[in-house]
Amino acid sequence: MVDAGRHPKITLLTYAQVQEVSGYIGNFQVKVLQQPRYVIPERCNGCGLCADVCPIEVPNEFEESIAPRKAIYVPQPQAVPLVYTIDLESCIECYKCVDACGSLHAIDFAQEPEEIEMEVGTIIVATGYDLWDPSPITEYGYGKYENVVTTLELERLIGESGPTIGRCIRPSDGQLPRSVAFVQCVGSRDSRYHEYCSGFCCMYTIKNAIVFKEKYPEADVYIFYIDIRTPSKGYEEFYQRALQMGIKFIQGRPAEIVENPANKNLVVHAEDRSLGRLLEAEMEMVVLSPAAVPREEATALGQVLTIPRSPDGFYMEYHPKLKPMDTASEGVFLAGCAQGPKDIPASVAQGSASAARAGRVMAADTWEIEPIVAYVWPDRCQECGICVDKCPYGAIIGEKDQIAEVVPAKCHGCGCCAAECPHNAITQMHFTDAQILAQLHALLAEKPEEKILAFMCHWCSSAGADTAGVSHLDYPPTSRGIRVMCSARMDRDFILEAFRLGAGMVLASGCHEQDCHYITGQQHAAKRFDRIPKALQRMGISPERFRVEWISAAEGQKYAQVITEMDETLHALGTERIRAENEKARPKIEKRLKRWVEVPGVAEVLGKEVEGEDR
Amino acid sequence: MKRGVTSKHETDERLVLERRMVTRHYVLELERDRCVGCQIGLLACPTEAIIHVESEIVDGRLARKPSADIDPEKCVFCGMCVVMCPKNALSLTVNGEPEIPVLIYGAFPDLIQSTTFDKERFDWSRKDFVIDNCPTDVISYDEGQETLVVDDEHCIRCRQCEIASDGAFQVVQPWQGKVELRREKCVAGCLACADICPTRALHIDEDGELTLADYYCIKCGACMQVCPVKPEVEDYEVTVESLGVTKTVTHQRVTNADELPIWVERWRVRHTPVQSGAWITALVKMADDKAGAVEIDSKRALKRRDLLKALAGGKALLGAEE
Repeated sequence: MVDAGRHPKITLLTYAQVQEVSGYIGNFQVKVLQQPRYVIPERCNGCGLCADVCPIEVPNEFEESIAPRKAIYVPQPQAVPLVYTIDLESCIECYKCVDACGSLHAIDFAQEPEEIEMEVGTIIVATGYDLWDPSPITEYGYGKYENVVTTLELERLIGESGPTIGRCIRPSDGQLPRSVAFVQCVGSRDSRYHEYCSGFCCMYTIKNAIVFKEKYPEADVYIFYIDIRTPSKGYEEFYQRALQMGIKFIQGRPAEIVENPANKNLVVHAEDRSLGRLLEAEMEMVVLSPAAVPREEATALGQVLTIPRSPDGFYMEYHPKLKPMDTASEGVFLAGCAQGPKDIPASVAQGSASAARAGRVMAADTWEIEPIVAYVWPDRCQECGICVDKCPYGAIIGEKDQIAEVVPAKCHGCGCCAAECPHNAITQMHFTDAQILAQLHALLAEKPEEKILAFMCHWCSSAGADTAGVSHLDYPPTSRGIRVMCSARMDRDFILEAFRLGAGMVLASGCHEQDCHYITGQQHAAKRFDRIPKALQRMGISPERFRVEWISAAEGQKYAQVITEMDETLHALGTERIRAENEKARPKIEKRLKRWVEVPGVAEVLGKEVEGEDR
Repeated sequence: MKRGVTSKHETDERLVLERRMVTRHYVLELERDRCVGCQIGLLACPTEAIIHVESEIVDGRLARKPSADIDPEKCVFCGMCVVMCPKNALSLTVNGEPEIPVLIYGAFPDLIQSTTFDKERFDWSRKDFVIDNCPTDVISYDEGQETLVVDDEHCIRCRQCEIASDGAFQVVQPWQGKVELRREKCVAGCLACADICPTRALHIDEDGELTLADYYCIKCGACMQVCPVKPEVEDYEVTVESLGVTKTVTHQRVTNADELPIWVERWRVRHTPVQSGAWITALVKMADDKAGAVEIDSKRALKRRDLLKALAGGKALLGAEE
């Protein structure tokens, strides 16, 4: 950190918040709000005389409120930059610090928040995590029993640089505890709070237990756990060392912790699963290992940067295996616990990887993107603003009453906007209406009523169909597939057109919701598909002739199954009935699609056929 | 109770704010019995943590005392209210020991006040009368030393003993100022201020009339708080300067002082020398314009130096030249 602070090409903006980010990869405009420190950084030499004379003490966040800090403070002794800050909410403005600062004149009560604007090429988000507050688990009594502490509080109590200079005292009486219990998975791996494993707690608890045991060899140290997870290099050996030191590992999550009011000791009730019996242990101190949770500000920052979040609340990577540092926003990368709980080696690895990913962009004069971006015909846009809301990437600029404009560098090519536009004013390059229409016409040119037209998304269902083929699974030969990038591109008009052309069955398939490669593309599609069966019914088409299925790349079996079932439905209905239904619905569909012909390229595909059939 | 988070416990007798860290344990306590809701603490408070709780008057008598409430989210345990409370209703301890941070760090002055007793001058036949006469029951007889002793922690310097003992007790009051009662402007039949006055300066005489004995007044201003005739106020800005930092403080002043039935002015306060922006800001709020002229505006204060020396008897006040 000190090196970063001194680096000529690194500017540190601390005590500042990102307010607004616009632009795209290579060309981001960022607005940052620099909060006033009331201390001029260039003049402050970090001597700390101001804090010595400050009369106001407030709980020190860095020390987990075990000890106070002054109203003028540095967050921690190793802070970079080492510049004091006045916490004006607690300050009584006695100006004793001004007096102590003397001829340095570093203190300036007149400072105001300052907005800084800058242009950057790439953004790396490394906002870390918060430790979950375990007080909702009332049976553990955190916040109620003084001697129940969190692991971070213990870190500060046991640390030589902490407020007790490494004397690990118990909060109730300041005495050294002769027995201590560590409780694992507090709020994590717990369906009531957080289902995920926080990952690094096993290792830091073993570390803390070893440090404690080395300091106080006479003390009894227990660790209550569900599973000990030591998967990385050297970790298991560390665990074995703890076992050899006589630290007692009890497999069983404590059911309850009860305080003995007389001596403030804590009785831990648990089941020892390895021995299969109940256990009561009186401990002088209990240390909880709470879940690692996303930072409180993660929601707001996620919106500013257009980064979606996983169900656990951490920022979602672009791809869990292949692009674990990238985000849905091109040019924005993730590092460390912002993406999910991880320990120091993993955070360092991801941080370095993100820097390298960003470096590729920074070193390039131009940046190639996939050519499948959306395009708005300005003369067709009715300025309704629907596309702006639907775009998962914030790639469309344009408020209501303003012609929409796609920022190509931000567009990922899901095609949602093109499908949702009620005026057919948007298309997607290489997946234009005309191109898809041409495929439809070709596939349904002969005996359409005997065919199942399957729309498949590129990432999941198309790959699922491929899996079915590669695995030599048997399914009827009646299906005909059209691949688009995302189920979001599957325009209602395409489905109607398929029926107009006489298709027997239509399948719309895409990724499962959590697997969608375009953040919310699948959700928009699912909403759209929900309304189709009713519309078909009103036109006289049996709703079972349209089916929606979410099929992943691995689900070849499911694809084969779905096609088989649809084929059975097709035969059950019979070609006669299908032909009759289609004939009846055709004028209604034509009425609904009559303006489609105005879309550039569509007339050529439609026009030929209209002539060929009607005349 | 979570570590570091200020909690508030209330009983009928006291209001306790507690901030528990492992190494430092702050407790601020307000004794409700002693509090008269005078608002000095509220004016002194730098974080606006003290909230005034209104009184209730029924048939011209006080049905509920005015009092104070403290916001645990705003209180920073600086101890300024503890120093200023004219009724000594507040106390602050750290790890169980009395400790006032602003005094330790010289960010606030201690008030100069005392009650001394000269047992040679005392007419001992008046002993029981003097003890009973004390409005705060702080005088007691020490059999060992055969003298009268005062509980200095809780004495409010009302000077009742000074008169009752015919000068054997000598009291130095911190605040100087004036108090005026204009009975003709009162709401008919109202005696509420006599009910709140902690010193019996405002009292009801043998004829049932509200009377002011201004010598006893400690300028706490509780009477003005309960008075049903409310003053009209306007905001005004004062620029104060301390330790090279200037700051504009918005403060309120009463515009219809002459219309009020009871009127208390605080002109100046005896205190130990101090250089502190917090003190100047608090003083601007607690004292009247005139006090402002005395101490706050340093230029004007210097010009009036000689005059003030005469007024203050040459002691205390000018200890703090800003």
